[in-house]
Amino acid sequence: MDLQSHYQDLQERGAEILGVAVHDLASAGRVAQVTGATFPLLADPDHAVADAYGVYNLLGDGLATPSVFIVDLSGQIVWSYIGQDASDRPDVQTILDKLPSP
Amino acid sequence: MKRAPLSPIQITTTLLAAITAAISLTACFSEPTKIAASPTPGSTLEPTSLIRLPEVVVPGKQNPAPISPPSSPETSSAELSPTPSSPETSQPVSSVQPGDNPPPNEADQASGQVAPDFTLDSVQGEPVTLSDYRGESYVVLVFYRGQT
Repeated sequence: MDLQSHYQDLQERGAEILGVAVHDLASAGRVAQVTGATFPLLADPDHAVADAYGVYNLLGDGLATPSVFIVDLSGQIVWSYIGQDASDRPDVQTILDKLPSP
Repeated sequence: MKRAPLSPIQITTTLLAAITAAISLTACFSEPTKIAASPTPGSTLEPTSLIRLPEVVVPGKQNPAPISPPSSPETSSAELSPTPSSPETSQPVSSVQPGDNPPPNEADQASGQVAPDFTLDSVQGEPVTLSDYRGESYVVLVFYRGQT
């Protein structure tokens, strides 16, 4: 799932990307470097947000399960995808299709 | 004086008259067999020759009371009051709960729920609050595994 390559496409559809990593800020910084992400990358060291979305430690590894939530203008979740393993992520086109057309 | 002899025609006519008179006298004294019997006083005449017609009931005349629907309490209550729905049959539509089948990567499992708000520090330096985007833009919230 290469969101960075489609960041502009997502913005044209009126969406912003927020990345959440279950790590401290320093480790999250390294994630940004590795992924080349220019969108906001947030640190969730105590996995409180991951817990709130029900994606923490689903794989039993003390980490967040790769997942995507689309939140609309009213603050409601309109679509979600929770991966079954570390490499299970939705297709970017699927995410684009869930957003309003540009 | 001598009487003139009768002609054959006169003789025949006379004989016929006599015979007719004799028959008449005989009919008066014999029992009438071909004539319908007349009722005698004290006796009843049975109308054996009458055809009995079936009784025809004319509605409205025979039953002046209007036809009313049965006033049984069962039917009236069924018509007036709706059939109460049993609570066992009227089950609400349930949504897929986490942990239930289908597998967790089924889309729309959390759809319809309010996204939990949060504020986290960003690598870019400024704290970010999810509700700040409400009314401004959609948010694609991506949870990374955490490995570096």
